[in-house]
Amino acid sequence: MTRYLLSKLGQAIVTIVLVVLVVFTLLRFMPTAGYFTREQYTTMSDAEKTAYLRNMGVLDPMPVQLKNFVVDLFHGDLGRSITLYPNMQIADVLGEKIQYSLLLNFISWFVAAIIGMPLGLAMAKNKSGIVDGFGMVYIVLVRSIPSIIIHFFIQVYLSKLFNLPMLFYMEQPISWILPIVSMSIGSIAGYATWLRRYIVDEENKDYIKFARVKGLPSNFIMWRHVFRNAIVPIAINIPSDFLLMLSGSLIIESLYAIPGTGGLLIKSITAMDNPLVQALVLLYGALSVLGVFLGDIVVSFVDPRIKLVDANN
Amino acid sequence: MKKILALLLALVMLIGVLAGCTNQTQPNDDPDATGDPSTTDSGNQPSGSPDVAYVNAYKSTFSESITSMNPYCTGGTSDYIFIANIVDGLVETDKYGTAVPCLAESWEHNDDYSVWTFHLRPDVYWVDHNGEVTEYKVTADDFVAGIRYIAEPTHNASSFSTISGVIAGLQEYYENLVNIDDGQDVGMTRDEVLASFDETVGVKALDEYTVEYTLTGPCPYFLSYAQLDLTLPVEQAFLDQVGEDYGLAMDKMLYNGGYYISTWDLDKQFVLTKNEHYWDVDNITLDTLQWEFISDSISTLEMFQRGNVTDVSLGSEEIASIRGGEWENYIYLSEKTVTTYWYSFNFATKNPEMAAAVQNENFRKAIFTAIDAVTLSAIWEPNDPEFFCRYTLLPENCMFDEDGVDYTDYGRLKEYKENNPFNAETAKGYMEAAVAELCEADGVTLKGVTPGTVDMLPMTEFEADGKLPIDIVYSSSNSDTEMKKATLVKNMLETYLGTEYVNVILCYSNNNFTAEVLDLGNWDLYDNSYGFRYADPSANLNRCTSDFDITDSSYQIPEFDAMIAAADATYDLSERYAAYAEAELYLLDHAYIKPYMTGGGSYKMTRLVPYTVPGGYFGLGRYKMKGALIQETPVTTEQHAQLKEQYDAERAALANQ
Amino acid sequence: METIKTTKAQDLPQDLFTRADFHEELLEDTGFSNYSYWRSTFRTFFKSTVVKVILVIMLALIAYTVIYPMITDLDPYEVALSPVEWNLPPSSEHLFGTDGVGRDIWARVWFGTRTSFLLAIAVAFFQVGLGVIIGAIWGFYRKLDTLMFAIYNTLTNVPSTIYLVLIAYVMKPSIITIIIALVATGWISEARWFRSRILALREADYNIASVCLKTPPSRIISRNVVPYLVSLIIMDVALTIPSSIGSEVFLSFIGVGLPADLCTLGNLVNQGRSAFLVYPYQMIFPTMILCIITVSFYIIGNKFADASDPRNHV
Repeated sequence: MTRYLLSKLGQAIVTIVLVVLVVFTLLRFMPTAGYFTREQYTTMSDAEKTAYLRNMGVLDPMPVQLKNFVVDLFHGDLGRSITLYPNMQIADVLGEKIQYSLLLNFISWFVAAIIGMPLGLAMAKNKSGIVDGFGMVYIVLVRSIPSIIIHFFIQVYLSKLFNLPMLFYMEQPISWILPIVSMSIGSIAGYATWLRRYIVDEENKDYIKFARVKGLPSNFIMWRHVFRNAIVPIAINIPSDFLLMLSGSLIIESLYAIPGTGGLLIKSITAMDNPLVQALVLLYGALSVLGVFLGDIVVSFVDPRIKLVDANN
Repeated sequence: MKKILALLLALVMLIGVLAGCTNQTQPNDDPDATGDPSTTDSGNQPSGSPDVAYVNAYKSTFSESITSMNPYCTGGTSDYIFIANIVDGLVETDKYGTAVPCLAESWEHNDDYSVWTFHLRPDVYWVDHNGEVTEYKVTADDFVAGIRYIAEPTHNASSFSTISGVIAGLQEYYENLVNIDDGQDVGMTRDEVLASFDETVGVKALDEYTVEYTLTGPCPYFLSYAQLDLTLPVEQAFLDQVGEDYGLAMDKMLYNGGYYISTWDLDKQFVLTKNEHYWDVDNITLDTLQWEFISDSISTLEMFQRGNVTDVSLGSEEIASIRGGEWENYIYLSEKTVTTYWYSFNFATKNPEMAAAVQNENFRKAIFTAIDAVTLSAIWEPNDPEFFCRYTLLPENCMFDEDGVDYTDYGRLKEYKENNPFNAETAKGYMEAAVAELCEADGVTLKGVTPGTVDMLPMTEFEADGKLPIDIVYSSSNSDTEMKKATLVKNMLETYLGTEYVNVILCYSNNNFTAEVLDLGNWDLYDNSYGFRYADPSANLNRCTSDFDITDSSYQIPEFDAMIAAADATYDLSERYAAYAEAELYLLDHAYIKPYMTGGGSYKMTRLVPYTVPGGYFGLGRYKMKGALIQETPVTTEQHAQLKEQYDAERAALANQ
Repeated sequence: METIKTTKAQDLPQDLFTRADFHEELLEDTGFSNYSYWRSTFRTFFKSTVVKVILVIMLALIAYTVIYPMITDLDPYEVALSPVEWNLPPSSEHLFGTDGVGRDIWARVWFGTRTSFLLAIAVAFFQVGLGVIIGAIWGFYRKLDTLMFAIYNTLTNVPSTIYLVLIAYVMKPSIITIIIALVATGWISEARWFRSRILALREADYNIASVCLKTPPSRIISRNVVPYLVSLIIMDVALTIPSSIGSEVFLSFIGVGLPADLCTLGNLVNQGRSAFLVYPYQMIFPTMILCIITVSFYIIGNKFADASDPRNHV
């Protein structure tokens, strides 16, 4: 087990290093003129432009920049943002923003789980019935219409209908409702679809048919066999879902003016804020790898077919 | 839901009552507060009720990240309102835009305006983010420290070039540092250059409360500079303490303005709170100024209607939506700003057809005459597009000579100012004349043009065949309104000049206009807006010379350069204006640049009683909220008109004194 | 699955039985009767009324987007130089009204639908194509796993916005650019999906059974593997189309990658969004068409997936 985990960890580290290297190199291909706004470019003198670029550290040769990045990283320093939050410590920026994304995403994950799972279960039990039909319509709509459109209409119409605030305020929990609704409708559909599908698949398996033939009560079969097995593929993703909450939700955060981490990655890329992009890629890469890793562990507890015992015993 | 609404309402009323109290006591406390009594009184009459309720908080929004309150490194004009209210400089403006004492109680200059001495107000202390007085006093050294701060290349002071050429020795000092950082040998070490600051740069603390600026030459309008962010003071001891973090958090800076930052939630909200230790605290009428982050899907109009913001600019769509309703009574047209939009040509273009054509004056005139500014302006203001058109490079109503004559009324500039140059027939006439001059005998082949592929990647790539129609690459950013403007201009040129003569190729930058268009010269025609930072024609005309070339046109106009050099050396105000007006006319007559619209002006609604706050066009003074009165109910259109009339009359009377 | 009958065989008289001869030519009959994979798939597929209705709507829509540009004389890019023709509400002259510079929204919607369709189909074609080829190789050579998973992990963790921004700095913004960008970011996930499908197929009971029964590999591939693979591809294409349209809307939302003046549904929806509160129709009409397309493709894709699954065949 330890060896298995260690080799997984090794792979994960290699992946992260690769990703950061690729991103680092790609970022250096961006033209230096992109660091200036239109006004800066036309009004700055050449001396000012050089000074400006050098202060951001983008004039150093690439190996030097890489070295600086790695050395700072080992000192626990993510560096300072250069264009998006000029001169601010990246750790401070993230620290301030992550709390919002984490809070809202956690609540909506919870909401999604307590609505989505029972929905999936009900749909599977009532296969081809009315509940299933309505559930299907919901799932199809949510999964096929581009999410921007859905979120936009939720913000505009639900806020009018229920007289809810159109923007997010930390101190006004009532204003959390719409962002949470927006964030969870997608995951509700996700949980419902997958749980329904896995339950249906599981129910068609021979051992379930056998259990039925044996005359076991259907509730017992459902909880003891079907559900425990059907939940496995969902459980494997829970740690990833959880960790990636830190990356926020771009569209929803921008619609409701939530100061979270949502648009940070894309904004930092378009603003060519190299240190910030690198820090974010590193962070998200580490989180997604960690998520997969934890997923494996969670599964070993949930999956009835896996028992964690030493091969020697 | 209703409960919350009721609660909110009650809260608003409570604030209103509180505000009413403070404002009622205000005139008694400070009977000779400038302008206050007159505006409050006249403000009351048109609204018809003697007891107008006032609130004591200004509320506004922001939609772009505000990341630094470092007064020297502002992200753009949107940050000025914060800076102006938290840090005071030497001079500010009164409500008529006249420079009045701020931290400098008085000032004088030598005979040729090249040395300016400011006498500071004694015993003003910096406060911290809790509003507590610190040990640091505002002294002459702080102003020297400010210049030293911006002169350090690693600090990336915004718009440094605005002032670097004005203060003696500043430019050389800065360039020496840049060169040293570049690894060049300038005969001194970096530390030696830094140590030389006091001798080489023209700013000195004569004593604790006297600061003297020595300039590179005569500068009668130096008071404009004294209102800029670049001449603000900073406490060196505190700066040394916070280092690189200066201005990055509310506890990483000091305040000497009317307000200090009391809440700073990144990308969410900012609250400025009244500084009780302010030297002019009696004129600080509002207790808090707050800004809230909003997204693009939110209409500020709706927030205004609910009372969540103090004022709102109305987009053309929004105006349409409130026409005919009760809110229509509150709309007023804001003043035009001094910013002007210009079209310009690329004389160094990679497109051979355009490279030949742009040298032809008739061609340039044809293009510029065919662009209809009124229609472009209608993208923003469909109801009164003419109001926002401007056909001179420099703004009107902000530079007057000793006799009160506006700069834009000098000589033939007045004709330009008053007439829309757009005329489809004249344009066609110019075009035909240009074609006759540009083409070979066959009437379609352009003289001296080698056909070939024009590589303007990533913007566009096309075959130039060296024949009519002339290909013109119009580059624009990809914002919604910029794209509308581009489409309209293409259509105007092709409709009014004829597709047989011109073919406009539209292209839009994808991510970064600077990198994709400007840096690579990927354009033939584009427009940009140009601010105007101090009250002298040199502010923008000196930036149009062949050397400075703010439009990036790469033109060579020695005649114009000579005119500017001569004008810049003329110090008699009316002669100076006359000389600059001649130079501007040269650019306009020969169609090098086409001004067409003012920036920023729009339809608005507000609760802020107009003309209670400092006015003017330059520097930070006009962003101060000093003396602001905010009504609970919006200012009606009549009230606004009446106040404006009164203000204009007062201002005219002042000018005639 | 056959059910095992447990009759007592030894109780039956022997003369009831005659020994059957081995006939090579009859070998087929027991195995396949008259079952045809494709016939069954289509029969199951068309049994649903929903499918029929949606197919009709979809075909009509596609036909109209193909025909419309040929029969109309309205130019979706033509602006009006007079502001009175801007922001007009829907009327008989402009069925969907006009936008902020007087362009006809009806024309823009149909030209936009065509562009978005072309884009989505092209992306689906290249993405699925690459995915199938690479996924097949990956699935059949297990040794590639380490390498391919390293590539997969790296590529999926590099934000695609970086490619988009970089592409924007070197290439002319055009529909080709955006296809390249979308395919460049999507192929690896597609390949991984096909790899797992192919693995599952290879290890499927009925294929293992066929191998045990000495069915020649060519026969397994042509009868068992290819038809199922083809139906997977069809389904995948049908589902990639709505997701590509969704990506296009998203790109237009973040303002990166997509040529901004191109008439596409994504651009139309996002341009309409800014004026939504005052001129809702400028957003509603493009949104409606877009939703019809994505919803129908999504349903068709899923229904086809169900129909093509041999377990659902009768």
